[in-house]
Amino acid sequence: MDAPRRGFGFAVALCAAWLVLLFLVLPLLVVVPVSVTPERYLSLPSGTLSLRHYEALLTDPLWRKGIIDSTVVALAASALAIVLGAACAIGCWRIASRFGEAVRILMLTPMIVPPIVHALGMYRTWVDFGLIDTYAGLILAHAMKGIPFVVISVSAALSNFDPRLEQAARNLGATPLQAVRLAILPNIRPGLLAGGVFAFAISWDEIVVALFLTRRAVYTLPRRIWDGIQDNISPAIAAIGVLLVLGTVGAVLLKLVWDRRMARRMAPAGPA
Amino acid sequence: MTDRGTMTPARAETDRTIRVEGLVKRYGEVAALDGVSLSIPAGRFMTLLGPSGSGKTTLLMTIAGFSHPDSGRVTLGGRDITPLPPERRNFGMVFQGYALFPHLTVAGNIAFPLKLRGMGRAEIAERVRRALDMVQLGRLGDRNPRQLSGGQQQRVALARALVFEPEVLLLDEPLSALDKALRADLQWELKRLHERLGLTFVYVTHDQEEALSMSDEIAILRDGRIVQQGEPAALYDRPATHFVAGFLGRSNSVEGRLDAGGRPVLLAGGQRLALASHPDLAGRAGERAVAAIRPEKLLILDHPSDAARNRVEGRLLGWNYHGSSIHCRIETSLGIFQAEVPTWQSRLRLGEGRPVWVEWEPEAATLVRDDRPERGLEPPA
Repeated sequence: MDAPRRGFGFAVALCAAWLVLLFLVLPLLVVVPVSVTPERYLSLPSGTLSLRHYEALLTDPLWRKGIIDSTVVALAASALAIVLGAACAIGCWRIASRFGEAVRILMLTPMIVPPIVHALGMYRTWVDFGLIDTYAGLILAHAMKGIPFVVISVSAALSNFDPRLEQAARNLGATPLQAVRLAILPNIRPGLLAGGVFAFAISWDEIVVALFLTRRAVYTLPRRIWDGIQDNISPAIAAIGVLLVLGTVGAVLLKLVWDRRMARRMAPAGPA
Repeated sequence: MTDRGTMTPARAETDRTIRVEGLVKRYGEVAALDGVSLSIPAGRFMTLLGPSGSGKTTLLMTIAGFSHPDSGRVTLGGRDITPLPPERRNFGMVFQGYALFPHLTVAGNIAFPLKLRGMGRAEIAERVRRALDMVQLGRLGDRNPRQLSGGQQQRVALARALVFEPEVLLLDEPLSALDKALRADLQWELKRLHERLGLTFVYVTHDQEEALSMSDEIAILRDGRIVQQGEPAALYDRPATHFVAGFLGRSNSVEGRLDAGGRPVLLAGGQRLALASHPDLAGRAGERAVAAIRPEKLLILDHPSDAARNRVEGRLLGWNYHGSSIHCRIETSLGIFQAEVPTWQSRLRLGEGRPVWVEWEPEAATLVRDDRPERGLEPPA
């Protein structure tokens, strides 16, 4: 790589870049010292450090239920979103007409409608179906929130997919469904994964719909945090914040390592 | 998996002719296929040749089962296969760009059709090995297709299309992405493979040299119709229309009026040009006609010879050296002629504006149907 030219303008740009970066990251980092305070209230530690709030996350049954419920709901909702979103995206790609384009845009409405309006509408309907405060109810609602992201990412992956691969599979003896499974899905896996990760994150983070649709039987992590902030501001919230940030950083690092390994595997062995 | 089991006993087991009858396919206003009928006997190397947009690929895709005709049908051995989906036709196909599965290895690609047919592991491994040997890629089975050169990918596509023993092989411009030397090698190989396997090959190309050198039979398409069909030499020597003469090789055309006399003569530019006698010419005296003459059948001379040939005086406009031949452009009273003069026997002294004589035997000219969209303005090409 060429060495960048280091003039005055470059220095200014570099400063600005660092400032923006700090502006984005510092508020996140504040939770780290707060989470190790020995006190029972939100404060910066003075002198001694303590992991009691981390311990509380594991021992307090409400925090534990929050983590488990969020994991279950987010996994199920993202799985459902992947299946339905991919089916929709592949179908629209396959018919390749204005109708497919219209369906694809229609699928994005859960992203466009204000969340509170969406949640209110769901509440009315979910009551009729007896789905309030059930796992099925929240999973269904979160899957709806996640589907647009899967449709977008799978459609993007399909725009790079050579339709002749599907034809080749059919010509070699695959039924339409076999062609999807054996030729299309393996080649749009990055799109499926990206959409799934988005759907998982949406569900993991979701509070508005959860507030409307759940009470006690289903108790997700955002719900627990919300309740925790409302009655007493415990540093356990800072502790869960640190864990979530660490989890995210870990996932990103894993992805980078994975990408590098794939790139090495795909690289031509010789001057082909 | 073969279709033989479902055939009615009344039909001969040996008749595996593919027949295309009255195919029409429209995309909005445009007719990709405009009433195409074609018969491809078993074992034939049939080439569909035409410029882009002529409908040759649509025709191939209809035979493969990917394109559904608005009307007309496709039959195999007398059985209507038009409604049959592609996976039940058992036709091998080599796609343009090869369409190898990037998520599978070379061996995985070749095993794909065998797995779909529920074959056992051991048999699949054996057949994949034999297929790789057939295309001389024995040790590349565990490579990723993207690690292979274009020529190697082409062979993998061929192995994959043949490994399940289809009775027809469809090829969609399989050599168009390769460089010229490799293309010539693979033309030989494909032709040998065809002779060895005895399969029906249906080959789509826009490259007329490829079509001439490989095919048993060529069908020339234009605007969704078959313009002419026949053996390569017959098509080259006796093109039926102005378009065929110009598309299959290069050609000069001379426009004129047929003479009423005993021996067939074309009156053009105040000259009487002798034609070879042909039964078709009977009773056509006085009609307008276009004669096509191949550039290599013209003699270019400094002085008129005393042989009984057609001749016209002209002026050398320019020339291009092509190694084995020299391509000349000559302006005459009949229009501009293009001639190919073999370099080794050329005693022609080249020089811009030099007077020369263009001569040809009566047999060298073929009367063609004038199918030019608009006539008169363009010089004879």
